[in-house]
Amino acid sequence: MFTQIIKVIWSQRAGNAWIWAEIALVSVCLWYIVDDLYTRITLYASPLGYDITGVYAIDLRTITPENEQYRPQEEYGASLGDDLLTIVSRIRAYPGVEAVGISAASLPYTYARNYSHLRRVNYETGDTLPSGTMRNYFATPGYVNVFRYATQEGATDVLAGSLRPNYRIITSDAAGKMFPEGDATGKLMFYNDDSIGVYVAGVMNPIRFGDFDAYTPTYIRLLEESVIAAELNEFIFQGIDITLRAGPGADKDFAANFRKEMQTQLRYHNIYMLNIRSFADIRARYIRGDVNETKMYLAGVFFLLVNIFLGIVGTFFFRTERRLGEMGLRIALGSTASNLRTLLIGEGLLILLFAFIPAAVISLNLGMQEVTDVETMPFTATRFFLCQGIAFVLTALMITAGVWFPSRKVITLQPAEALRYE
Amino acid sequence: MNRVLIKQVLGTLRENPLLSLISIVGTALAIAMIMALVIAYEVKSAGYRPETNRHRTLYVTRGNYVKPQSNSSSYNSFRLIKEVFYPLATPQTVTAVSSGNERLISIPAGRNEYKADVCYTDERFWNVFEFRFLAGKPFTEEDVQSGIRKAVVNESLARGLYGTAEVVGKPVLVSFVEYTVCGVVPDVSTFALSAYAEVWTPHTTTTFHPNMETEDTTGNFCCYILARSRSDFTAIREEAARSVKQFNANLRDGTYELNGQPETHFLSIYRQGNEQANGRGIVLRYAIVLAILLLVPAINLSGMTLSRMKKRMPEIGIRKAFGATSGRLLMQILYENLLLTLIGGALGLAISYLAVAFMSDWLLVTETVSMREGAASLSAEMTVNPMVFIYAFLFCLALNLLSAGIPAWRTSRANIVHAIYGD
Repeated sequence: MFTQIIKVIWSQRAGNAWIWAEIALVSVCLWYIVDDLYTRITLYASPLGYDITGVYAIDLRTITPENEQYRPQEEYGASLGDDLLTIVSRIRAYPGVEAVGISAASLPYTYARNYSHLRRVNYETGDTLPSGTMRNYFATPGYVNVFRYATQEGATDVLAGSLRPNYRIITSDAAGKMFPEGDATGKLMFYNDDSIGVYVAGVMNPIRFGDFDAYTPTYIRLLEESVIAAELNEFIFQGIDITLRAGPGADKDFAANFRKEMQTQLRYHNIYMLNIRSFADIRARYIRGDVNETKMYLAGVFFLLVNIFLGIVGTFFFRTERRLGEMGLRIALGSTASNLRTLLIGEGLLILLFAFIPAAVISLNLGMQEVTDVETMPFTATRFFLCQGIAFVLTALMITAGVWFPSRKVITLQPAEALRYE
Repeated sequence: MNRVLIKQVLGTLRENPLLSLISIVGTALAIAMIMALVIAYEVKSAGYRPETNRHRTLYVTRGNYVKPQSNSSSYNSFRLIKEVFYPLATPQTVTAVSSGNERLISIPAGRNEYKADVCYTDERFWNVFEFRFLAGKPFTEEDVQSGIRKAVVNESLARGLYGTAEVVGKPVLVSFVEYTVCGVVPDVSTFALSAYAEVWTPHTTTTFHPNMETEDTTGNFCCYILARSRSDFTAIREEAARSVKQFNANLRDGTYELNGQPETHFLSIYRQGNEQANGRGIVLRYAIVLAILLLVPAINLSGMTLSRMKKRMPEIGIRKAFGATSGRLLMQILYENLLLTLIGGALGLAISYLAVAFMSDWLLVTETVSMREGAASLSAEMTVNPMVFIYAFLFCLALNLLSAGIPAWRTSRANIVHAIYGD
């Protein structure tokens, strides 16, 4: 049967060349898209390292001197930082609030990011030791509770409690990079431009900026309330974020109720509340671009598959029409309907195989040249074969569906009638 | 000739309905996908109100302050724009715009309170962007100079606050500070991100806290430079570079860097922070995607056209026998096929408009656009653009040449005797 199919394909080579070229081109495109979707979905499905359910951001602003209600802080007898802490304690007292965090450039799903370079020093040997750039989170212990950052064992409170001056909580990927020899807790690290060291307070699960971002080594540094009280000014105020976690009892009206009930309480001295936003909403806006791009790629898959289908239907439609005589003869000589269908589908799949091999070579070369996304995931053999496999199966399904339709005409043929065509 | 042609095409269509359907669906799908991309691109980059002058505007959206060991990147400070870009002589006008400032908007003793995007800018803003005023007029140079609290609001906000668009002269509170409405404009779609806001006021009516870490070079402002024509772009860039050099001479610790700016609208929409977009790379990417969208269906259709032509070989042979030249036959086959392509193309263009209308959320909205409060609305002015139809026709032509070129060439060159026998 196999040699028969090969013979048939060869005798029809003029018509097959077109469909062969199309399948080859589509296979490369399909592999590229499947590969992209695969990296996206794998990334999307891996843990974020934090939990945003029930988390809200409170947007605070200061009124400007143009405002009639504005008074210099001296007249209030309190610093801007004191006022912010007063507001935070009022938020903490609101029913249903589990934790409140103060932080700077430390939120997931946002673009404000700070980085620092940390290194290790071996005074005895003077050896170069591992160093690395990490994202720099600056936050209160409450913030750790708000986002439920956790150690590998799942402990959040222990982590929050370990945040002290001169100590840093680091993510496990940062720990792996800096301390490949093992346990990092209690070890000493140095900033690039500083000779005073900081200690590792604890190791937490690795984190990402958002669902479509790769893991970034990060550390958390303690933001002390005394520092806020002493140093906060109107310029720095713009970079401070207040977040809260609502307890399990909070419903979907939490934000609206909070806003209504707290608006006057949070209008304090020169500070006011602009807005309260749920992190679900912040997340939706942040990942919008990636979600749309993913849909774009899915539309691409649809386009390619439909074209394969149309191409196969078109090619085989004419072919079966012209080969009715041959088919009739086969039926007359005892071929069953399913034999004929297998023959036709076999033809389609064999063309696919012939097209797929050169296409896979091209794809492999493209992959080796890092045309695909290698920043979030390395280009491995598993990734290549898995995506090729998916692309192959999808194309094979389309071809089978495309042959099925014209083949109906053949298998319902009566032998006598078919022979007339001959 | 034309009537014969149309008859011929209709005959071909009727002769094999299934194949005709496949050709039309294939063409329609390809043209729909291509045109959805083209329309999305037009919305991003073509000029429409109020960003009518995108083609002759240069953009400075990022400021980069560099010190040894560190750099700080953000928008620009007003001082920087005033000292570096305002004095430029070549451009028609230069505006400083701080948009995306979220403020609380209400009216004295009013119950409704809105969170709105406020744009702090200068009077030149109204020359760079072309707004249609529903009522009142923009604030003037004198208003900006003396920090008079006037505000232009959009129609939705006016109606939300007062229930009518006739609000000129009425008070409005911008985060507890009272302003007087001086003009009302139609809502601006967030796709016109440079001009977009819900309230526009003179930048002198509020305080921007200077960032002393960067010697007050970075801050909250973007700068838009309207050139008299695109041919002035090079001169403006050179003048801006000289101006920055002079400005940097007066900085104490660091330097301000333009990182390739002022740049065209195309480059500015793809800019990532300090890095200028790789324009060639983006064009290449678009070109590859378009090529695939054309090539895949073209191969498909080629196969089918070839089969169809095989059936018509006797007819071609007879035409030849009666003296039709190869060139004439070639053109005839291409024409016939073009008509078929155009039927599919028209259908495809219609589908792409439907797609853009109903799926604009995912075809057009980017992260930056979705960060704003306002609606990412589409209007006919943004999407129904003569260029779109010209592009659609050109793509049909390309698809036709790709899909019928080889079959037509081979058929028209067939040997007369073989052709008549249909070999």
